[in-house]
Amino acid sequence: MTLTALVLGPIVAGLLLYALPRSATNAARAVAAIVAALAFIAPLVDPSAPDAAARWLSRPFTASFHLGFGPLSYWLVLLLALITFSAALTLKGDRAREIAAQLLVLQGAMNGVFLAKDLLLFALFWDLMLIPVFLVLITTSAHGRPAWKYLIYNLVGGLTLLLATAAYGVLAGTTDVIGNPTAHFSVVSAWGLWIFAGIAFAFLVKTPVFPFHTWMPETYAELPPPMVAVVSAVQSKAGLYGFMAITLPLLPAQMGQAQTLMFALGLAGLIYGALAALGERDAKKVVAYSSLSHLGLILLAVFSGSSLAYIGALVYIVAHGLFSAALFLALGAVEQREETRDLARLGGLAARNPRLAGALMLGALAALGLPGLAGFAGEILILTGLFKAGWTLAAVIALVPVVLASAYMLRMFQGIMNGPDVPDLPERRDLTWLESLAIAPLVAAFVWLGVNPGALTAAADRGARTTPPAAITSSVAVEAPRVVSSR
Amino acid sequence: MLLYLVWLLPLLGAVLLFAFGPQLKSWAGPIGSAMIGVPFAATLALWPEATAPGGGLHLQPMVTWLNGWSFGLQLDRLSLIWTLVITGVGFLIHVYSIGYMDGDRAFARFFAYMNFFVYAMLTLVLSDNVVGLLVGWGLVGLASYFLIGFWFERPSAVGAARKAFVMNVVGDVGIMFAIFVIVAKVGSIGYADVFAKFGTAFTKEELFLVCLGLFIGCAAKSAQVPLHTWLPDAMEGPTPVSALIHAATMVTAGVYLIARFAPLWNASPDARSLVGVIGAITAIAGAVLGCVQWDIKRILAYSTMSQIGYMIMGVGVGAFEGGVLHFLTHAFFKAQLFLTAGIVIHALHDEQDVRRMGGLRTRLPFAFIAMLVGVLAISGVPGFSGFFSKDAVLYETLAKGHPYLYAVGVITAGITAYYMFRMLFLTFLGRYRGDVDPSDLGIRHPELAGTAPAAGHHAEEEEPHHHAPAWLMTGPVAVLIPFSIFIGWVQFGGENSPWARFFGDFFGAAATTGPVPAPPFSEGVSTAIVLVLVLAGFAVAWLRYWKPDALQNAVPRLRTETVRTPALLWNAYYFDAAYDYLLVRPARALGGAFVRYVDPHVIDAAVREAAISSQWLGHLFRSFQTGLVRAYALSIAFGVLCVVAYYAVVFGGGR
Amino acid sequence: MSAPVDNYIALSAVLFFIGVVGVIVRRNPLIMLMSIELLFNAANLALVTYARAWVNNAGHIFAFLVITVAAAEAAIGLAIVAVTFRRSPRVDVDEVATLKG
Repeated sequence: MTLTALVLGPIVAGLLLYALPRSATNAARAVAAIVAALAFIAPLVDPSAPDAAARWLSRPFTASFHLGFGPLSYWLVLLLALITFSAALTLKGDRAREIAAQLLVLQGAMNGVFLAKDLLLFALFWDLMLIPVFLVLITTSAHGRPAWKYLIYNLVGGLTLLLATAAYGVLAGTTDVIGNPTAHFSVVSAWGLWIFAGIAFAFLVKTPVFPFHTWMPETYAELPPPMVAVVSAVQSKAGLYGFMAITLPLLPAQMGQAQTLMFALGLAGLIYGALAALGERDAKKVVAYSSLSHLGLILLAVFSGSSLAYIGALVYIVAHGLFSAALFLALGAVEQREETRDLARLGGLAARNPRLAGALMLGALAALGLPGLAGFAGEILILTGLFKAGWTLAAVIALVPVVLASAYMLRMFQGIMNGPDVPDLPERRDLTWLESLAIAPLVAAFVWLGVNPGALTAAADRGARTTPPAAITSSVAVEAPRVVSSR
Repeated sequence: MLLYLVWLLPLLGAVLLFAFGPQLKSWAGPIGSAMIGVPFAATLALWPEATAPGGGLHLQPMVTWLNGWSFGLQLDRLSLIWTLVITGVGFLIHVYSIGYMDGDRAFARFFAYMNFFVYAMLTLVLSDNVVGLLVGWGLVGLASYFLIGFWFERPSAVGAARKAFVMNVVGDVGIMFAIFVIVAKVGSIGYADVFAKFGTAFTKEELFLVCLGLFIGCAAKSAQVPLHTWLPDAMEGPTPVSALIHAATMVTAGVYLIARFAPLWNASPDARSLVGVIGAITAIAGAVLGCVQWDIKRILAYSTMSQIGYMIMGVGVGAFEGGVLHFLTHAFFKAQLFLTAGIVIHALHDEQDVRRMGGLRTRLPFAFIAMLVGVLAISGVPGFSGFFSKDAVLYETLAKGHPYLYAVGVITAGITAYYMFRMLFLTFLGRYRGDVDPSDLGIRHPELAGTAPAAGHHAEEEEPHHHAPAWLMTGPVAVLIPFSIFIGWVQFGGENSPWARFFGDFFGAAATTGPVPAPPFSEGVSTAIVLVLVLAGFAVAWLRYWKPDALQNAVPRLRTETVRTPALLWNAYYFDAAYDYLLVRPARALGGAFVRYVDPHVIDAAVREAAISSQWLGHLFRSFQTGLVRAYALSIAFGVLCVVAYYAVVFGGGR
Repeated sequence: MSAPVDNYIALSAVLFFIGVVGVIVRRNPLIMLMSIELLFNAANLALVTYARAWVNNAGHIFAFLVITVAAAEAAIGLAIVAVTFRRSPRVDVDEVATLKG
């Protein structure tokens, strides 16, 4: 019941918001915030909610409307609710009602992605979560191009996911397999690799991973701040979640075969994103490229076959969600006030906007991996795990972006906040209490997680045990020799 | 419990001052100081526990991430020394800052940052594991960033802050690398586990790699060549910051790190050689650069770099007690020198160029005395604290079989005496030159040199205010003076000195590759050699800056010296330029190319090609959609005919 | 007994052929609609014939269904035709090609 409500509740609430008058900004904001808050409280109150399941198809394979918490999805649902809540609080302007509605639809669809225990249901929600983002993007971006780019990239991914799901269902007889430890169906022969390729392509595009990332900077730059916070913080994790919760248990041998390729893509993205962030002038795109870099690191962790890195991956997924949401909300506040995102034009805002500067600073610090904040906890666990699993060279290469991250994040922060006053920038008003209230829980969460990620590491440890990442390692030994021998 | 108080009070202070700074007004200073003073007293109270046999005070882990990743606090002899200096000297500098920062717009923010720094530094030294140390390591870097960029409207301060932070992250990354190896091989991050197991867990190469990683961290934080370039720029921060962070405590964290991991260094002669050599290079390179600086704070910055080079050389070759002692004495006399420089700068309204000083002995007699004591101490004049510690480091270096490092150290001692006396003479003797036209002194762009009064928010805004009482600034310096003189005496008595007994066999003995040759001469001879060189340095300084005719013709002579400064030295061996051209610019250019060329014109172009090919397919199908209903009907009829024909062929044989 | 099944089927085929030719050849939408009615009724005739021949009432039911569909089709089709006539009194379906790709 709880689970069904988590999925359908926000969608219904979002659609009902259209019944409000267009100008009802405050009401829309309140409804969205309350729904998100309820979605945050529900899993806390009822952490062991029973699965919701209903038979859906029986031919040509069985499929169910089956929802349930897994060790990873529980935290992602909480993260999503928290970020939707924060995003809802920052809604303003004459399009607030529509964005609030689409935020809620997005939340419902993404809860569906995380909670789905049936591959077909997962694929369905996977495509459903495109719609709200597209609808908002098509109305906010000036010429609509980013919207179509977003849609086409992700629809192609969705298509391959659907085909792979169908093939899996036909071959395995059922798609009700996610998080089911007894469903150890190993897809034989060449089909396994094709199915994995179809699923992996969807995940790589959505995350995104280099070189499928070109939709991302434009999308992030054009989306309104509340929406981009949710998309960058949580939607980008859907693919990584998929790798961890779906392909790792179901197709470990294929994961092993793809290991070398994925390491190449992950490392390329790691370096490419960091350097691009250093060369970018648009503040939001700096953060977008930094995401490319950080998500590349998580991809390495997921494919490393190291349980330590796997644990770090969950910590870093949540951490990245929190700090990228905080960064985008803060940057959104800057953009709304100054009407530009150009680092060359901005400057000197800290003197009159201490709260805004503080929020942006904290976000930037978490993003650059300051020890003591959540980003660092994830980073050190992942890197240590990589090294321990024998990926010494990859771990050492992945240290370079850590240095670059501090350079581009400080460049972004200082470009906006420090330096002499720029006289011709428009109105200056510090964060309102509502905006502060929106960012505060995110900051509190990543500080707390940075000090003590214990709850998350325990959950990830459970996840690592039920879906042994070691399966990858063993398959690697047979099928894909390591590029780096362990010391 | 008391240890938690020591650790957390500064954090509480930082949070309080940050949250309620504007409301606290002038109370911010005293509150901030109290948050450091109380931990100092508490640390003194913990002395017996910390020095108790069995490794001192070790608290239960507070937080556990995973099995083997537990975080707790410990206070042993080594961290006790550091904690006392951090809180003790820190407290004095906080009190001093109440006077120095009086009237600044962001008075409370300054104390919030300073408290935060102390908290971060305590995290670093009190942690019982290497990840906790890294957390402190990163947080002190952040505090340093905040305080260097304290006046964030100044582009130069902003740039210096970023540079310091990024270079320190290079160091963090080195320590992260060491953590990789430690976790992979030992499986735990606690010091106790590491020291218990490293002998069997590490191969010789791995041990060297761990030491190398730790040393990269140490080199970045302690401004060792080649990661030193941020330290002189860090002088953009307010002077008390330079005293606390960039002289007394943070920059010596590298010494702490090596001393903390003494067992590893003891076991790795290769790592010891590396560290010793880098330390010696830094000592002499910094000292040489100190000779050509004009900014009083930059002179002190280079001297700091040089002195830390001594300490690193000491702990590197295995002379841990000497290195740590030099840290202790240096903390006092260098803080004193910086604070005195701050008094001078304050009195001259933010003038930092020694060419525009002179003759201040009569105007600021107290500052003169304090500076004189500091200079005597840092030069190693017998009886002053620097003498004991420097002597200990140098002679131990020789005794451990490093004659070349010893030679470099001795020469550096002479250079040190020269440039410190040069600064003293230029500042306090002769005639006041502040009223001389800058161009007569060879100063071409006073505002670009960063030495002229900085656009003056500081000076301007304090005018209408009351002045804080002068004792707030002189008092802490007066407290430091006796320490600068006498603290070194703890080493008096060699093997039986209180210092040697305090540490006992704390650091263990270094493993050596072969028999160490006996030093060619005794400690007395070594002391004599050092003294001769110090005297020589003093004599040169006297000839150039104190002789009557030097004082008479000070202005033209300074002009000549300015013009004739070798470009190599003035540009600090071109380290900055090299980094700029080899790393910073290529990285930026590459990033710009990715954003402006690769993304739109390579990756997107490939995607566009795919899109265009599907468009072509679309055009093909489009031509069937004529819009003519009758054509559609015809094609339907044709289709039906096909179906009928199919069935006729397949089943038609029946009749 | 009535005439053999073959005769009815032949009639149905002839009707169907006339309908097809009418749809393809004529340009007046009204005539085309009438031709479509012929198609429907040719199919109906075949259905009813076989239903009688094999004593299976499913064919009758289908015929009723087709009549219903035909009625609906005629209603919609006539509405569209009325709209197109409103645009110009002389209507040529070849000129109503707004759905051209």
